[in-house]
This record gives sequence, structure tokens and C-alpha cells, in this order.
Amino acid sequence: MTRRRELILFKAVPGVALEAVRWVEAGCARAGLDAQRAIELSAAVIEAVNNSLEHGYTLTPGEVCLVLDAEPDRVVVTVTDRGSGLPPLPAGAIAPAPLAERGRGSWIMRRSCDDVRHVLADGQQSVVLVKLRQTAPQQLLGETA
Amino acid sequence: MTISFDNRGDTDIARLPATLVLANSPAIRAALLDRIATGPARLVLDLSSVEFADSSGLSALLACVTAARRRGGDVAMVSPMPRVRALIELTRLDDVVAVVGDEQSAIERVHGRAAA
Repeated sequence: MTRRRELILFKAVPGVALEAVRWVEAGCARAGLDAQRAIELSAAVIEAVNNSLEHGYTLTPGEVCLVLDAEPDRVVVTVTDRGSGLPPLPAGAIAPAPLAERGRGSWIMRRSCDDVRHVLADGQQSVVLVKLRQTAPQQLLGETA
Repeated sequence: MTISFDNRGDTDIARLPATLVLANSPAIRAALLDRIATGPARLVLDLSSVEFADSSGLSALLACVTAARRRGGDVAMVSPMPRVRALIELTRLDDVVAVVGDEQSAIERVHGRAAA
């Protein structure tokens, strides 16, 4: 298949994560990603957008940019904001305690994607969420166990 | 945000709205915790209408589990839609809370009885 990029800007307001998820799932359908993988990717997207709302734009309003890249072997969603700062994502998937009320956002992102990266550049911060089209070996993409 | 409660004797049934996300989870959490504090502390969470949930929504539900157990009760979840079920399994919430397919089984679980 050919590579394709789609991009959209959302105002960083409560409820925007649902709009973002619907946009991502429509893009995944156009990209031919199977429905289950699209659901898993969208679970990560909602957490990344929530992070922008909770940590990025605590002081000033702004926008969240979503880019969906459809590639031959994967779909990549990049969530970018210009807010005040996300805490760095942990290097590996760290499971929260069973009844812990916090700490599940990063865990969901890690568990539902094949790779997650946090990029800081030019005053912007991005979370890059990678979903492969096919099941991959566990060590793929340099993910630590 | 619409959440409604039915009472079945010593068990409350909470029917949750279509979304359980950052925008409404604080209000839902408060409503559920208030019900647990003033009610029987045996709560069935009806997830059959919940189309979207996120980690903040799951946290609200977990707060209910902790609060109910502190009061000697329990919480069970019933009929999650596929997207929410996937999130529950992904986060292993079903390791610590009963997730069943029908209301009667959920009522039995919050009373410490195995589902039929």
C-alpha cells in the first residue's frame, strides 16, 4: 500500500479526546487497520490526549495536533502539544498496583501499542504511538521487557 | 452525564452513561462514592451503555471498589461493550473485580457467591 498522512488540530478542551478517538478510528479504517487493532490504538490515543489536557495545558489554553501516518506495515499516531510539559514516559511498561487509582494512562499506552516514544523538540512535545498491522516479536522496536 | 441507580434490596445497581472519560469521571466518581457511603455498599456497575472509557474512568470505578470493600461490601461489573471490555482486560481490572455477563450473576458476586 502507499503511505498516507492525515493531520488535524483540536482545541485542548474537556471532551476533545473522544473527538480525537473518532478521528483516529476513521483514519485507521481508511488505512485498512483491523478493527481490534484500531480499538487498541485509540485507547492509547485517548490517554495521550488526556495527558496534553492534564499536564500540557494546565496554565494556558491551546491546541492538540494529531498526525496519522499509514505505512505499509504500521499505523503511527503522533499527538503533539505546546503546553507546559509532560513528565517523561517511563522506559518500560510498568504495571500499577491492582487497585491503584493512578498510573494507568502510561500503562495503557504501553500495553496497547507496539512502541511508544516521547519526543521533545522546538518547544513541542509529542507522544508517538505505533501500531503494527501484524503481530510482532516481543523484542520488536527496542521495547524493553 | 447521566447516572441512575436502582435498588434491589441490599444491592444498588448503577447504570453508567455512554462515556466514562476525563471530562465526566470526577462527577461519576463522586456520585458512586456518595451512593456507597449512604447505601448498602454492594454495588453492581452496569456498563452496558458505556461506549468509551479511559484511565480516569477506570480510576473512578476502582475508587468505588476500594470504598465498598472498606465498608464490608463489594462491587461487580456487568455487560461491558467490546471496547470497554478490551480496556478492562488490558489493564487487568478483571483480576481484582468480578466482570460478568448478566445482572443476576453480578448481584450474586457482590454477595460473595459464585455466579451460577
